[in-house]
Amino acid sequence: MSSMVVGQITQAGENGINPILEVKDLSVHFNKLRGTLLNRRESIVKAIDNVSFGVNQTESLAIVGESGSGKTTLARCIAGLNLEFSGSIKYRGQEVRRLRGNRLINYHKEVQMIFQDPFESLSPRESVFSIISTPLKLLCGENDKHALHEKVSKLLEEVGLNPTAVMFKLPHELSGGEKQRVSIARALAPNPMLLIADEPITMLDSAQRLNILLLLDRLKAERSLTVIIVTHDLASAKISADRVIIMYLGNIVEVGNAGVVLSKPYHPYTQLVLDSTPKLHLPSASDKVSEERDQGVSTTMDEKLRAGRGCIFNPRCKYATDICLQVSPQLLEQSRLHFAACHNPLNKDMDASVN
Amino acid sequence: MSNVCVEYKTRKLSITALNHVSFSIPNSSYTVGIVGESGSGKTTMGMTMMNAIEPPGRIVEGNVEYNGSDILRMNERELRKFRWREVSMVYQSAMNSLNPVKKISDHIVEVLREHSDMSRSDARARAIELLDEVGIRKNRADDYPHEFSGGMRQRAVIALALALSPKIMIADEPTSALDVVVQKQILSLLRNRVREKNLSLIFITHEISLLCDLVENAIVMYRGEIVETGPIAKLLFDPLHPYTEMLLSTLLTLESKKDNMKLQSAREHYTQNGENYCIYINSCKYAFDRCRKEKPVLREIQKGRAASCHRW
Amino acid sequence: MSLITQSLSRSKVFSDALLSSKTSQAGVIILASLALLILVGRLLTPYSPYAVTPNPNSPPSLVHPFGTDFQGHDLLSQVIYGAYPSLSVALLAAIGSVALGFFSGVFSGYFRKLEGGISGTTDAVLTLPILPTIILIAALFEASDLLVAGLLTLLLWAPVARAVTAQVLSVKQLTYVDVARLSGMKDLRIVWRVIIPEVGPIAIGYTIINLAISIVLITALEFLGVGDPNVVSWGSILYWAQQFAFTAGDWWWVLAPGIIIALLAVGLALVGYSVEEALNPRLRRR
Repeated sequence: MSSMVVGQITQAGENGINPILEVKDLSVHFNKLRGTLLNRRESIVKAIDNVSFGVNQTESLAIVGESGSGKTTLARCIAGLNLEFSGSIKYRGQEVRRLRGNRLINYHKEVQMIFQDPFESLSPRESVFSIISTPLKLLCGENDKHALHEKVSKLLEEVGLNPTAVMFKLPHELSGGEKQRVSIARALAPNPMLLIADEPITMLDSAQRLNILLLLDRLKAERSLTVIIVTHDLASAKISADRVIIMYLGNIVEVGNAGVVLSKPYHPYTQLVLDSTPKLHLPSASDKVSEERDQGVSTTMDEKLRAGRGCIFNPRCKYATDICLQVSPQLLEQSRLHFAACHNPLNKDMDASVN
Repeated sequence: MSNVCVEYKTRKLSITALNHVSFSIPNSSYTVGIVGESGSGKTTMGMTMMNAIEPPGRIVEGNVEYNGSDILRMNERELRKFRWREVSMVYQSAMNSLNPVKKISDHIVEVLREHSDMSRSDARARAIELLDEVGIRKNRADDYPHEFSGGMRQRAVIALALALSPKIMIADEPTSALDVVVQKQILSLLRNRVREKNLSLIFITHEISLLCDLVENAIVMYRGEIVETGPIAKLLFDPLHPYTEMLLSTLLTLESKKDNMKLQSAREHYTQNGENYCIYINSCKYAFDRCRKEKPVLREIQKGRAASCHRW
Repeated sequence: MSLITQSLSRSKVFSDALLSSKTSQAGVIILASLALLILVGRLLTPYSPYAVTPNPNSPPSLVHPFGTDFQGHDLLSQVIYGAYPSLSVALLAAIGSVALGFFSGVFSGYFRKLEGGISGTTDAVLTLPILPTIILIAALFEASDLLVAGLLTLLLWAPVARAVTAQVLSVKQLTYVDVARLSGMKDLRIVWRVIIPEVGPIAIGYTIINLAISIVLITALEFLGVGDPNVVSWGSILYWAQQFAFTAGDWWWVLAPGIIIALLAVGLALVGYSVEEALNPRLRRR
């Protein structure tokens, strides 16, 4: 992808040109052994295939995709947890792939991550205090007992927990929402500038989901954080993000303002997911709901293989034309700050009135 | 189900999964959704109806009757006839419990031959038919589970559940592990098959919006108790119980606006099931004196709608 | 239900499963009773195993609960004292094999260096039949205690390494290992603080197993005449019994060590089985 396009995508924030993170031609592939004993073949699974985008300071970006989209792998690469990738991830000019040893540890002072499963995110043997003070000790060099205690208390208050009640509890004594708040406190301990949240509310109950989203929103404002939220749920992306990137099978298919992309998307995949997202409505009177035959696809690998040289979405696309089967579409700016990789983008006629 | 109490007991904890719960399916073709969050007892409900509660779980009280016979007292043979033929179950991880060394069609063939005296060829023909009904083409019927995607495996599981034409199907979060696009397909499939075959469907989920097109009635559960029941159309837009209200107001949909959404009470502390107070007392924004002293009873508030709340 | 299983860490689930299973409880009771017999009996028994009493060839009685052999040695004392020679070597072998297996397992599982070499070696070792190998080598070289201990360590290290590697690989996937890295922990510290506590209980389980296996193997060696038959040990009791018990008609001579060894084997089997059981389905049912 040309650097001009990357530059455009980077500038695609309302706040102007201030990219804190630049991803360029990022690819991650795993070698997989497939086939039977006598017919072993090695194939390359591309979890992320040539992805480029920028993230602006203090923006809230959602990376949306379903299973197999590569979104979690992408998050881990940005967080410095997976350094086996080709291409470049630059955080404030620093190349992440080359970070080792102490430089990698210092990276975590500025870039932090919280994870999907509140139960598995907290070491079961450590108290809340121990969990949150560890980054303070190891990343910030804070060793004074009183100072640690004070800082941990402040962090707990910031995430909406009562320090005296919770400080020395063990993870199994906390509810799911409380565990996730502790994880957030732990991530904020070194005062990072970039926070990556991998499906932070997926495993929580209804009330807690809303609370955590609102909490993240407040923290972002108070600390001038840049937040990247990885999710499969369009509704939470729409509510919490300024901009959204839609991923499918390791590729970016659409990028743009969250409100626009998630109501009038260009890419048929985005439209498909929008249509499938459950909505609260009065039950329809119709006797039969339209049903789709199974595509006969077994794995994401097969989907990719079926796409061949053309657009990766063509096997499932209702609107595929000849060119879609032959040529893989580039991610192009279809209208101001709204990009899509599609030969026949939807909703294009709407632009006249929007712009 | 009448007055069923189920508890889970380990060396350290004792949890009441169901607290004096009663529930009935009044007629055939009755579709109902059971909505609840973690710890509500909704999965336990489904398992109780199949008499599938295993240690450390125990049915402490109550009975479950089907067509006059108490399921809880059935022996192995009667239970086997009951399961699959009268009531069948599709659960979330079912797609992962398919036997990896058996072809998909063979799974169905085996069930058919075990519970009826079909010949091998008849059973196979019927299996192909059933798989076709759930959208799995004939040319894939002889593939193995690992060759299918999650969505396809779940379709196969549904075919299995429908194989012996049960009267009731219980589906416990059948789509939670699936992508949203596949989920929609599976739910459409389910809805259509249920209506075609006049089945009763009990759909257990934590996502209330899934029920909109799927069932006619709903039950809301909280901490092992039923707090509200009624037709889904009424329940969704005019909830009676504060908990139902909370569930609906915190629902994140594409139409939600951040500014309209308010912070909810952060207190999620585990309330013991007590006999003298309302189970929802710690989180209820309407709570008043009576709620702390007297436990509300699930009773009819409007025609066909019940709730356990002192407000009415 | 999920509320219950989710609140326990992996190693806790493992130890809980291990401690609460009837099989392991039975096994531990048996092994503990034997341990008690050996440790306390040594202090209480009035006879030295080498002391020649004036009652040779006498069957079990109140004075001699296990009877005496052809030279009048009290067999109960022999059994009690006889555990010690095998015990010290077995202890050495057990600790050695578990230590070696544990650390190589952690090394190959976490750091993934030498992984090919280590798993190749464990595979090779696991295919060796233990008893014939030991006999062969002990016969070729002089069978000192140290040699036997060393041999057993080298042979029994492999299953430990295998189990530990598998467990380390699964613990490595856990989110809180990622969290430890994000919190600034360096690899070595993560291994020490996070991995080892999760994998520790396995080491303990295998120590018990390997200890008991070693005792049985050492006894077998002694029985076959490897080592000094004049030192009283379980194997040597059987060695002498094999030669003289039948002609002298002393059926109890074989019974004494036989029962003890059988009990040991049963206890070992029970504990070993429950460790395996605890390692697999319980942990998968997380």
